[in-house]
Amino acid sequence: MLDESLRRRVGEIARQGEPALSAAARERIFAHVAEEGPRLVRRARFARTATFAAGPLLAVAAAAMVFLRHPAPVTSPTAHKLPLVAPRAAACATRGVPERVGFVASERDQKLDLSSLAFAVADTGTEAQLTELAPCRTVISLGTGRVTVHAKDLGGGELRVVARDGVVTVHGTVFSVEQTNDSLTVEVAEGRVGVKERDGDHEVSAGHRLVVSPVGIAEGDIGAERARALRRTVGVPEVFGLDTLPRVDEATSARPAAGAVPHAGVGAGARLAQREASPEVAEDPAPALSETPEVPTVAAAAPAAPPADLLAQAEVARRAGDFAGARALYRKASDGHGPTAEAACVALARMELSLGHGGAALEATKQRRARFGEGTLAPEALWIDVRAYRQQGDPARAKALAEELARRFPSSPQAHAAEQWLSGG
Amino acid sequence: MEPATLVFDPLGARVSSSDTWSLERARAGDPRELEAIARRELPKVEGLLRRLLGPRGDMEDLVQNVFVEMCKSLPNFRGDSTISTFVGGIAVRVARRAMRPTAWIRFRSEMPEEAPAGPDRPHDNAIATEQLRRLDSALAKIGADKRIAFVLWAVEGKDVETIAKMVGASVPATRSRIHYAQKELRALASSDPYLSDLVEASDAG
Repeated sequence: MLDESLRRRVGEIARQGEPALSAAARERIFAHVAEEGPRLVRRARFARTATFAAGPLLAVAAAAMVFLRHPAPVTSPTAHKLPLVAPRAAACATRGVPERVGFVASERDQKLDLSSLAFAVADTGTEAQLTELAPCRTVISLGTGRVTVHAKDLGGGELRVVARDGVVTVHGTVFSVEQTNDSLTVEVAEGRVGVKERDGDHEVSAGHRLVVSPVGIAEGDIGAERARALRRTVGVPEVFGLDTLPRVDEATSARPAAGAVPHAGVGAGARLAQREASPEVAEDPAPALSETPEVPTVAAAAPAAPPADLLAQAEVARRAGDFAGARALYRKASDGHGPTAEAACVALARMELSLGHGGAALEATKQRRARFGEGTLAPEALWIDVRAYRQQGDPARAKALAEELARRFPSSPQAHAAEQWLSGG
Repeated sequence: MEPATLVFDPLGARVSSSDTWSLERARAGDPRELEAIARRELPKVEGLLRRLLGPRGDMEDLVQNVFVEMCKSLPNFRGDSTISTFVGGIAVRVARRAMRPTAWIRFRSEMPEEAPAGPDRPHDNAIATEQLRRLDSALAKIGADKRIAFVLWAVEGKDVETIAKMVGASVPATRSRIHYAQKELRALASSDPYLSDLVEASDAG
């Protein structure tokens, strides 16, 4: 069953590989372990001890809570008039709920009509179902795909969308939840929703989007077009005058023509929060907010593309040989914010270098440095600089930068290549 | 080099070697002992991550993360396997997390300058280098669970029982993963002139 000769041969090939880490990198790791290791071990020991000790204490605390919530009957004649916990009165508690409801599939989508309570539309192919319908609590479970919800009148109750990567709780608003293999995306057109995910709780207000992915949390604006699309999906009339959203005419006039200066608002405000709990992916920046596909019911003009889309378009143009178009798209994408904009700077520099425009490549990396500083793509940019100077016939400058690359980013593949080049040349 | 030390097992059953003593000191947070473990295990960890993940720019961070996780997990380590197996299991977990196909990682992987090619890259035409690159590429096409089991078996030389313990799967499931990984690898190698000798070796064997 198991092939020993294949095992031997694969082992031979695999062991030909050189060590991935330089001696300096190894020493840094050893120093880190010696310095931080004892503290980490002590903390882990403490947590382990505290867990064992906390068990009985928690049990006692839980019993006390139960006792306080459900006090034993007392003999005082007036005691029943003074409950320890006042019951919450909510309008939802007294009203009925629709019977035998669920998502009804049509050719275009799946609709869930909960009368005056809420209305939801799931895209075709979405795995969503109504799993709980009580007077004060409505729960939609989302496997994968997108569901757009209009919580009309919850009467003080709550509506939840439970997805794999988080729970979205709402008390009356228009929002969309999309769960893919990689991420959970929550977009809010009206009101405010709370998102509870593995590492904490977040609030998403009208006009904003939250993306939860393995590399971190990203927040940003959804734009007026997307907000309108969400409202139209669930049949909510247009709303003007929201502080967070530009008016329709403003959004339309601000949309740039091809090759023009990009709309400054696109992607603005996007920011990245790295997870402390996942240090091994901390160096991989989170993706910039990617535009989710438009809801099929929307026939309006396409919204201005966010940076990620522009970058993809630029790559397509470059591969097709439309270098002028690609250049314009790279520049547009690089005017945005976050790692995608930085990547666009580097991609532009790389293209210029491949076209033999060493000066333009150096200009692009200079702009990257001015805007993003060290950023996340410094080794890539430095390596482009090395090659650009070499291409321009300035080997001394190229050598100096290659040495800098090897010194500052010793574990990067570019540093490895630089070291090889330095040793060979 | 510290001489072997004999200590009494806390249960009073047997004497054990200096490994136990070393482990106890590491568990107590002795910086020298932690560093010694890191020095001893790093080449294996580095090699394992390299084989599981291919060339990556963040390898130093991943390797360091394995040892950070090791420090955090040491108080829970009961000593029912060797420290190498324990650290190897952590490396597998770190590698598995790093394999998550996020949009950003996919985007970056398309960047051609990540592995600079052409005249700037010496030894580019060396057959061994190319074979290794293609083996990495072929392994990357195999599913994570199967790839991990196969690499531990073929490259790290672990036996199936140890691999099962490291990946937290049953022995039959681990054996099955290795079997299907080698089947997929043979299929991938059959169409690649640089890896065709894998198929030939397999047929000859």
